[in-house]
Amino acid sequence: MYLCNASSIVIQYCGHVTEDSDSNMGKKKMNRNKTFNILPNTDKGFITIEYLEKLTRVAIKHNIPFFKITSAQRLAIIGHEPETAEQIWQELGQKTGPKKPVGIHYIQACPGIEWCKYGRQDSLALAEKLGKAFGDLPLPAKTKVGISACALNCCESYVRDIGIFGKKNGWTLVFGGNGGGCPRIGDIIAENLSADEVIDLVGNCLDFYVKNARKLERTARFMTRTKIDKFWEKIGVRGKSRY
Amino acid sequence: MRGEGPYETYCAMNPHCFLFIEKIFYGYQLPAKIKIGVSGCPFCCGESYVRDIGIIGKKKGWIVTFGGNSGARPRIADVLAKDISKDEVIELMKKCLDYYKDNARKKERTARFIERIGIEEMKKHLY
Repeated sequence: MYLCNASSIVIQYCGHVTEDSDSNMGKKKMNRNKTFNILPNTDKGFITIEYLEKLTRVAIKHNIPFFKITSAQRLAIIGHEPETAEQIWQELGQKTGPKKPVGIHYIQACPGIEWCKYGRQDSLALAEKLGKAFGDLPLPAKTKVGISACALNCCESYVRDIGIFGKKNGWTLVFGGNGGGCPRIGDIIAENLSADEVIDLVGNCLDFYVKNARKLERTARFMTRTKIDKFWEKIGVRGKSRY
Repeated sequence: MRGEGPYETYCAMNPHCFLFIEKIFYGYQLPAKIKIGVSGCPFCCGESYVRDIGIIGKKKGWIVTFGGNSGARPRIADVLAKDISKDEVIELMKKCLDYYKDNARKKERTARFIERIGIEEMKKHLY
């Protein structure tokens, strides 16, 4: 498995990652089924008509059995042969480059105030800002971001490493959530924030996380281990935790 | 029908594993929408612990969870069963949904339902 620089590609054995010492995802067992999946990142979950047409051409050419929508707002290309990974990547017009260090794994954002009647804030604009500010920052472990434009939380902000949701008076920032095998509901850092205040506070949280977390320690595990008062002191605000 | 039945998320691992859930349970009239997360391994890419019904695969069998929520009022689901077969999962799901249908208020999501009645109370009626 390898990660590309320009846009994140994750190539996995069907359901498992390879025995690869360079893998950011650690070592796992190989599956019996030796097909691969490619998961090109999308820009905030958008899929254009041109991209869909390209995907379809690639699928027909390489006998791809199907695509799969993932929880990271990607379209996974499922079940190709190991030799064709590079070719498929080139045919999609994706760039290659050196492996990106582990960090922001994806930024999910809902359609937001521009496209949804429930939207209270501009989730797409904040996703763009956050991506520019922290997209290339090396972090101890993969960090998933969910930005919801209203409190309905369609991007599941409470169970993301960095979760942000919009209300009438501003953004609420949540840190340390996890929606996986060891779930955790994130801690509320602050409420009624402007977009710039969100960026500042996310920076403070990530700064503390980088300086104090162990290698490959997800934010949820880190926050479980960390004394919450020390965290509030270091990031400069006193939030609310349910733990 | 929208708002009255289930929808599912699945991990990429075993995409065909529980597709038949749709055939069995679509059309069930329920008090509120049900979200089902099916994960083929404990990585839980299907986010099973924060779905109304979660199904997680392990070496010895499936885990079934109930009452999770990842929205505005998040809740981590309770485990109802471990190491069970696929057929046992379906039986358990039928019992869960029947109990939920008979006892939940209109529009009451499973997370709110379990917060109100308690998981132990529900378990009494499942086994």
